[in-house]
Amino acid sequence: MNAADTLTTHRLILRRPEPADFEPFCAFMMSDRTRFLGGPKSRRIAFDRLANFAGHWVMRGYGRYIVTDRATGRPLGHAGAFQHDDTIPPEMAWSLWSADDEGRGLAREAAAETLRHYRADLGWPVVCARIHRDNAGSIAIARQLGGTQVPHDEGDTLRFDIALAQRGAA
Amino acid sequence: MTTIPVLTTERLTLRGADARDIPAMRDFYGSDRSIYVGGPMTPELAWRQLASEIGHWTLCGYGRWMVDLTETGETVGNVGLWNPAGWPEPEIGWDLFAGHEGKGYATEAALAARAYAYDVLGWTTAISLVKPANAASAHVAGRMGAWLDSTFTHERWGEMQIWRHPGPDALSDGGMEAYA
Repeated sequence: MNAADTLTTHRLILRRPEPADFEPFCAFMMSDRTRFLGGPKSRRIAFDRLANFAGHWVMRGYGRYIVTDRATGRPLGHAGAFQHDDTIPPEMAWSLWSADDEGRGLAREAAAETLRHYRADLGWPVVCARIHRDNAGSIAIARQLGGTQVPHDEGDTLRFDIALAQRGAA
Repeated sequence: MTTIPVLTTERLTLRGADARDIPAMRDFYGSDRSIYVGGPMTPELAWRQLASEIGHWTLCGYGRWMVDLTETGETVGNVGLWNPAGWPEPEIGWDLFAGHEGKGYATEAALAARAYAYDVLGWTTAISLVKPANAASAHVAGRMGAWLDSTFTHERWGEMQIWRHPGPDALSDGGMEAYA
């Protein structure tokens, strides 16, 4: 069963990628905000990454949502599961593209809604998150979402698994 | 979400890619056939490449098609329209899978893609990028009536030839006959 194209929370609408997302996403990718994600990246790579988000939806039936402000429609970030590597569970992201939108729990609100959907509507058992060990903000969100750290041999990257069957997502 | 149109030619059906195309793309990008288009690459990167090709349709409203033999359904290549960030201008590209060379499939499919670009999208010009050592690809460009125009250096793929296609006006003047 495919994931919903759109999810709605109190403050957010999550939807599939659109052309107008490119410029704000590119600004994010080229900024210091991707320092824990291997960035900053070039405009060329930003395009490839957003195209990848969109194509993943077609290939898997789920993918990264673009997180938008429910009131204004402004794109704020991206959240949701992705899977290139079949040896680990679907991998989550929760990124806000601008520092101006931090501090209000928006990333957590978006991620929690995707996890609710994966658990309640799709019946997924588990997802994971791979996070740089110095990315304290993202690690805190992983723990708030019920993530537990599991052994993972990949340099400075930590892995958290979030069991959806046993615990609440938010 | 963009719906990818289906194009048909005398022998070929051009359609949007999806998960069924993973094995063919993995084989192509895992082989030396992909040395002029960024390969060889790992299966994971080939998967990502296919996802990016599909997503190009979402971001640009056009993109590449998988090319099937209409009679058998066998997939023989990947052809279409390409203009990601970092590209010099909108391009017509073609990749032919192993065992399907020498039958004119790349040219036939690329002509359909070019006609779509001119007639449906309203492009007024088109190029094809060819790595200097890729004689087979240059041959296809020549058969389509394109000429070597200039060169371009891409941040990752390095130096490439820019082959310029005849524009829609030149083709509508009967120029197409010379290349069919």
